[in-house]
Amino acid sequence: VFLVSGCVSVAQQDEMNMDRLSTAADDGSILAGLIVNGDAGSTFARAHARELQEDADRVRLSVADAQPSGDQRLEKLAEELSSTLGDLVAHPGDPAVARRARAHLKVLSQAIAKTSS
Amino acid sequence: MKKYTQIALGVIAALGGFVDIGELVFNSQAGGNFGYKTLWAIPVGVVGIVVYAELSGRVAIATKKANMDLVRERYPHWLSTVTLIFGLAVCLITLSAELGGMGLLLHYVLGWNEGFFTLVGLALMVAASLVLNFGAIERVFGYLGLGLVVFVVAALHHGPAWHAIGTGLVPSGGSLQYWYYVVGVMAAGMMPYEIYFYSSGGIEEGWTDDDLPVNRANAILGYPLGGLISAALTIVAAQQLLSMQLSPQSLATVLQEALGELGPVGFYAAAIGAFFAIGGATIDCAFSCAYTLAQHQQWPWGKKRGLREAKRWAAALLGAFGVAFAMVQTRVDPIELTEYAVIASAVAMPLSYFPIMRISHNRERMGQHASGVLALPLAWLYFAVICAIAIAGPILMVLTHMGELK
Repeated sequence: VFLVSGCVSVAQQDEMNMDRLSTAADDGSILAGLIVNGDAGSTFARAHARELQEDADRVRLSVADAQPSGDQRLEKLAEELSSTLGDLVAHPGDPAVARRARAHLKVLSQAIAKTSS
Repeated sequence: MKKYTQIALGVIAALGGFVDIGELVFNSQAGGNFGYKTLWAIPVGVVGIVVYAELSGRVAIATKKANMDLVRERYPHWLSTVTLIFGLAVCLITLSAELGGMGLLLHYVLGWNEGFFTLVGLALMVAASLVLNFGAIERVFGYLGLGLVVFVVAALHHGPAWHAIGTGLVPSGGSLQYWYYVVGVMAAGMMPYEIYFYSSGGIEEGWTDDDLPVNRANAILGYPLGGLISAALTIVAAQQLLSMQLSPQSLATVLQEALGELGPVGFYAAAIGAFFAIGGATIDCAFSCAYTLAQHQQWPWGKKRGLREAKRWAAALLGAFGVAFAMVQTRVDPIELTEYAVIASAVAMPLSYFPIMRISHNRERMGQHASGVLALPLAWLYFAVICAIAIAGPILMVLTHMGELK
């Protein structure tokens, strides 16, 4: 059952990738907001941002490796998302970086929603 | 007076010890995806664990037999072996998910590598299992697990939408994904390791007829209060994540909810509570692995017998920790592992719970403690629920790709 639960069609894989990116973007934007407000400590912010960045990287690799070739827009969005989250990983205690990242993550989240619709 | 104190302490420990990584993950994901709509599944799961915990405690008191002893006695050899294999597999998967969760929590708070912290968590849990007695384990992990009450505070602080919460307590229909989470929330509340540990613990502590009120109070008061924390996890996730349809894929997102609502104090209370709640469940799971194997194989077992008298039981305990640690080291995601553990538990439940239910109303074995007019129908009703969950869980898991497809 566990093995079968891993089998999905290309369309389903795209849907799941889209959801994962959307989750990472929204979660990252909440985290960035907490950094801006001075609530999130650097250790937690770095650890969580890195997890989200890894999620985005996994989606990018999954799209890049897809046969037939995956959605290029999705791959690009995943790349941008990873890079923005990477800024939070590199500067987890910097409110200015977090402010810029939050704005960018919101734009990315909307772009992902538009792509999925 | 001593009895009341014992009951109060047991209830508090059950409250803090009810929530484990399965509860943290499934309840938060359900809240983020469906708001309050899955709340009704929590009392269904809680009543299930109350019914079977009370039964297993009562059966242990009356027959001096733990759960897997009854499985061995009442099933043909092949079926008892199948039950053992399922039970062990579920306990090991759950144990590795809990260990991985502990590593992650330490990583979020202290930095450094999560693999290193999983090793630290393993060392702490092995030491606690060997050094602390049951009372101390219950107090340390149950009481400090109460840090999770911060989610109840966060839900109230945010301003609960009481009408929506009330509506969520009434079952409603939904997509396959919705039903996957409903089944997950119910199964997370009734994980078999809780019963293996509860009944074996009762034997270890030498429960007698005098302990029946303690058994009843712990089950009837402690678990529902623990269910409150589960409900709060769903409510807080609904309050903060539903507008974005954000389903937490990480324990960090769950901690972040407390941070967002109550600031750093909320974050640290949630982190400490989650660490000790998951730590308590880790110890329960490891003991359950050793108990089930030893009882099935008729080896001498029990913490009170000591490492020398119950060598094979002790080896099984340490072996369980070792295997679970090895599973986490494959870099499998503890959150994914948790989902597998919860759904696998659903399949293992009927096999594990059936013998307890059957013997609980056998007047020859139970005497005056046999199930009466309330406990017997409830046990049968819940056995039907458990069977339904066991069938639906794996099917929904495949159809929704572990809750990812709508």
